[in-house]
Amino acid sequence: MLKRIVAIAARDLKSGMRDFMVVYIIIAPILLAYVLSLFVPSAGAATLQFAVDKKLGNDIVDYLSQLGNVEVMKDADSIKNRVMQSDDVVGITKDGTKYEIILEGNETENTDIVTKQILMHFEGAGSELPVEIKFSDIGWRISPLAQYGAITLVIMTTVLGGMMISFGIVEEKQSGTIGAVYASPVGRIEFVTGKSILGFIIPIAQSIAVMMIFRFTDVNFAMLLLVILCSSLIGILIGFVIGVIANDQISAVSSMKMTFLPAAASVIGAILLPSRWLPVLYWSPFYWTFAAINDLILKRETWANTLTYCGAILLLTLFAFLLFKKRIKTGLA
Amino acid sequence: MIKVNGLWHSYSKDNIYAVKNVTFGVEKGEIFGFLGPSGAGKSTTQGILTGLLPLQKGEVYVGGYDLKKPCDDMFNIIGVSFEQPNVYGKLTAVENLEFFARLYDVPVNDPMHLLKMVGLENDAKKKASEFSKGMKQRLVFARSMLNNPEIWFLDEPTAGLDPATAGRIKEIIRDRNKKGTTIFLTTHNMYVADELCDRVAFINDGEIVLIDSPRNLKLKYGDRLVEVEYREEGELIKETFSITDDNERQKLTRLIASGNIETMHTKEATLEEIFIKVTGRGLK
Ligand SMILES: Nc1ncnc2c1ncn2[C@@H]1O[C@H](COP(=O)(O)OP(=O)(O)OP(=O)(O)O)[C@@H](O)[C@H]1O
Ligand SMILES: [Mg+2]
Repeated sequence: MLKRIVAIAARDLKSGMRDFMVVYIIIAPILLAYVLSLFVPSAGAATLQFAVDKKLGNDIVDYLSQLGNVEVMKDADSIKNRVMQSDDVVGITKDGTKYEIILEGNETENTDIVTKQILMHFEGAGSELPVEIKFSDIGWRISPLAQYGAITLVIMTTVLGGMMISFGIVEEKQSGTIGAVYASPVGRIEFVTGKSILGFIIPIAQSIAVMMIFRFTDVNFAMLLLVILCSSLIGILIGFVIGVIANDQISAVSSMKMTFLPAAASVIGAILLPSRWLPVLYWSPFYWTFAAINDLILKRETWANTLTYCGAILLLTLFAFLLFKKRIKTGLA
Repeated sequence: MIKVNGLWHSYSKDNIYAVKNVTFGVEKGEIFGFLGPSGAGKSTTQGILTGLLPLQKGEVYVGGYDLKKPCDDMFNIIGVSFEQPNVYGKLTAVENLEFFARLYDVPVNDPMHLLKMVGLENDAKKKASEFSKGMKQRLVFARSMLNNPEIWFLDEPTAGLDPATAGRIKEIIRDRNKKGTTIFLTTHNMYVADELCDRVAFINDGEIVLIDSPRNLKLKYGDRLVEVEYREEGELIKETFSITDDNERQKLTRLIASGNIETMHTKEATLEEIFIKVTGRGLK
């Protein structure tokens, strides 16, 4: 049984490696990750951003400049406007003698605490920074380009894995070999499993490569693996559906483009929407993948959350599977 | 080895049947021919017998397996050669066979050996997409032998092949049959059926019209004829006499007595002529 599943997957890979489109699909996300990573500020460069009220004086501006970028603003209102923009900026002003930290609410976790600690340290100046201020804390140093670039590409790999599957099925249909395989001791379940394997392996390999290229080398790989495994299922399902519907590679590609739409919408929505609007994305398994990978990159993952995200992905995939089950079954007969 | 009882099949699942009430049996070690014109339902029948089409109505047993309860194990003992050359174009000939070889639970033949048998040894490393139709067909034929099948289904194994290659394929079929393989052979080529088959079934419009050995069919349905060339008053005359007809037989006897005959040979009816006689239509 296992022997046959492996044989089917290995044959798909061999066939795929001789197909320009498939080779392209395999290297595209890695190439993209590499190109994007060239634009990511080098590790260690502070990406802390402060918008500081002019009335606070030069001392604090100088002090904060050692830690990150500082923009000086003329009053509290312009700070508020600045903070509301899409990047993570911490606004600092003063109400009487008390510092006031202005946040949008979607910043990296602990932003307020860390800022408070920085300010406390500034007030009690002179000594070294206390160790509790976690400057090296990953969340503070991640460039949004690396963060969102990696997540987007990881989601892309799961869809591309599905694309490989649809190509494999289209190949079988066009050549009529599916009949020859069924005329051997291969069972339907073995066939479908064998055909699915690449839909797992390719995204896993690509995603790990993407994370490495963006230097997210110390994420929790066990969780990453789990998330990609679950997310691949939706790609695989899409791959089978398109595979049985499409008559040739070209029409498979054009159908596949359609699935990039909800995937892209989920990613862009997850980045831009304020948190109270996020539930409009809950229908999309891609959103849950985004959330899970985002947590992993920001190192705020917990097993409970990850399992919840994965559960949501699996549930939505199951729902889609039930919708398309019959079509796939007749398509593979 | 094969038992088919009251088999019906409709692609559209209505009352338009591609196969109607087909009943026959194939004994162990027999070459059983399915002979009929295009669209008669030959491939449909083979499709059901090999589990590729669902069994809608009727009983089918292949090698003891009841097709009502499909079992993947059955495919270890059967081999299927398809009408259409269905091979993986991106794989070489030998890779095609190596892949399928890995799917069986039983010992398999060496792919290179099989390719040699069908005359593809020099093209073993060529991608199948670069093959001609006949080459692909031989590859499909070779593939169907991978697991040394006990029951071998052959759908038009020689169609479109040149006479020499077709002869080679027929030789392989006879050879394996001698070693005990039961063969179900589908064709619309009466010569192939005549040469190879122990028994043939005539199938027309989805129905089996008759089943018998080619020899019996010819004895039963063919007029036994004698073709004679003789000289009469210096002129060469060609005439055919039926030896089942009293009148003609007497004429022939007189002619032989006259000693004017130059050539004379018996002519037997072809399966095609018998087919036309029985069904009112040809095999084309
Ligand atoms: N996939 C299909 N869907 C619908 N009808 C089909 C299908 N395949 C065959 N048929 C119909 O079933 C009938 C029998 O076809 P079949 O392929 O069994 O003929 P055949 O005897 O093998 O002919 P040939 O000598 O041309 O191979 C034909 O009328 C054909 O149109
Ligand atoms: Mg046919």
